[in-house]
Amino acid sequence: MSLQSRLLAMLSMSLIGLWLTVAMLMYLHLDNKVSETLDQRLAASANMVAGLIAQQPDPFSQPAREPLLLSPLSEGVACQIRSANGDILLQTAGPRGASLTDAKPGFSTRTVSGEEWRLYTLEQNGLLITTADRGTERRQLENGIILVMAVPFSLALLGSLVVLWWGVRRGLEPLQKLYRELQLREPANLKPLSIGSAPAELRPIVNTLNSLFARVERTVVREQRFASHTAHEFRTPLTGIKTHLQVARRIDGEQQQLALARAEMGVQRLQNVAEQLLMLARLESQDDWREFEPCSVGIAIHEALVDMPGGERVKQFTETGDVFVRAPHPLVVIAVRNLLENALKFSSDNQPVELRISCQSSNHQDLVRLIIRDGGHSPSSSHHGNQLPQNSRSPEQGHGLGLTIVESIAAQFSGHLRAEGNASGGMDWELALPRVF
Amino acid sequence: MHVLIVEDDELVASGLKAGLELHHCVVDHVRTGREAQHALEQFNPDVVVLDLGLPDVDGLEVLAQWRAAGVQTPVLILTARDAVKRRIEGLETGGDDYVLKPFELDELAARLHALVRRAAGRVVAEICHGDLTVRPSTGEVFLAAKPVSLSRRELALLEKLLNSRGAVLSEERLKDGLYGMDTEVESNALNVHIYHLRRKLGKHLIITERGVGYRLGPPVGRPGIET
Repeated sequence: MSLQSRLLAMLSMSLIGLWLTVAMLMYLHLDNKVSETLDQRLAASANMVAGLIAQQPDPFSQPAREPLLLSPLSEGVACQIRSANGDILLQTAGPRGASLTDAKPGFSTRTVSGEEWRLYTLEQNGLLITTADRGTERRQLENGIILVMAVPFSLALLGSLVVLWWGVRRGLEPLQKLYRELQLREPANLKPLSIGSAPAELRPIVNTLNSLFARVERTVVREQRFASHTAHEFRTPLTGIKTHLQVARRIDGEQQQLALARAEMGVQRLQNVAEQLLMLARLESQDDWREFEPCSVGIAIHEALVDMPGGERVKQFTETGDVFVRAPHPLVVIAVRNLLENALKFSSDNQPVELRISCQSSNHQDLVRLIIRDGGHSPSSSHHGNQLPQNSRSPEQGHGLGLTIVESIAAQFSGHLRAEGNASGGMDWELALPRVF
Repeated sequence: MHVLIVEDDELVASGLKAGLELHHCVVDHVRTGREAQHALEQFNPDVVVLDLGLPDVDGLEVLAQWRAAGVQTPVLILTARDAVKRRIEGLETGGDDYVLKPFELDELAARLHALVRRAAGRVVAEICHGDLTVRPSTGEVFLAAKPVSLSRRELALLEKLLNSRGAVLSEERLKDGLYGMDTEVESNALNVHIYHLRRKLGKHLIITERGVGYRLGPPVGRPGIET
């Protein structure tokens, strides 16, 4: 059952229950009041007759041989005047008059010819004056009053139910929109939810869902990019190996040896890619890097440059003495090496690669910044910003994977990796890690 | 067939170059989009093998620029990125074929020959010109049903002339088609190849248009009749 149906059912039942209870109480109260009023009218009639007799006592001072008879227009009323010794002096004509004989003073009810009558007898100056109403007329009057009350009451109840239904539907419309939006949404659709002007209660839910969608989308894009990079890193050396082996099969001599040697280079590259992937997996498991000593940046750079092809082109500019960072030494070496290899590969052969080391305080955190500047052949700056370039790669080894590893190291140890184009057409890569004093 | 390879990975490019040369192709290799632009303008290759992940500019951007400039040269996109969206994008940008790495050399060569054939307006693999029959995909040449042995350069020159449909080709254009970016070429190398072709296939196969260049002669008959 939907929330709207449940709410509607609950409110309708409550409303109907309350209104019926009120109606019942009102009916009982009104019934009593009407009976009381009619009794008062009966008593007033008797009093009025008594008043008239008091002003004209002569017709009733002597007992008559035959009682006087009255014939009122309404058949639902009757009257009788008796003397103290029981002689009837005046009464309504017909059985209804005769039936009032022997009525005791005060109110009483008796059945006459199968009909119920309400009697009131007043004793005054030796006379007994009895007035009576037929029950049928009394009930008709009561029912008329109740009908007059019940019709608008019922209409008001129905109107209230309609207004309630409309109000609940309108009030829950944003929730319904959200329900429809989520129900019709394809699993792959990660666009933000749009339900118009969301009420204050729903806004946090919509905002949270939208922020979750955005995060999932970023994650999916990152994973797709990573998968694409990895596929590229695997397929490129594999292509080299396969192509050179196909060539080697068709030729012989020195050229065959050359093709085989190149295929072997491809195998080496493939091995490097596999090792990089294993490193990334170990980084993500985090268990291997729970305890470590602070890393000396100078020593890490020195180790990263050992045996690096083209390492002599790296020019260091240190703005501070040897500093330490809060990250495992082997990982800092890998990060620096990946960045430097990337920069060397994406610079022309005669261009130097700059490595600047500086310290900076940012957001109450002391950071050590390593800025690696290459001179060109880098991906165009249009692909940059705060994000890593999507088509970045290295001709020799896993550029995409290498940078992903650096990014992962930086993120895991509270640092960051940023890239932006520089004036010489190349790229500036900034690796920042927390400084340890 | 003169192939321009635009590939920044030396390992892949060297294997591809060696493999296509085994398929009787004249191959030039460049690493960046800028170099590719220059090579295409300079050497007018028959077909381009284009990698998408170039270091300076995305391969698709290069392709889009070529197509916008009216370049008709067939382009085969060769890439490791296999996303369907990327393939569609490549073909819609102007790529004529899309091959994923790793690939079979024979298949790649066959696809390149097919692209060149279609660009020349032919629907069959063989080029016939009178008694002369050339099968570019295998490098086989027959004259009056007898096989004729041609060197890689001679075959490339013959293909250029056959695909030109009788148009006059300048000496420079023929040299570019034969040697591409190879600058170590003897000044009379083209004349030597033309001489050898005339000797093997008949002296009227190639007609010299003095001061302009060369064009394909009328359909070739038996060598004995022609010479």
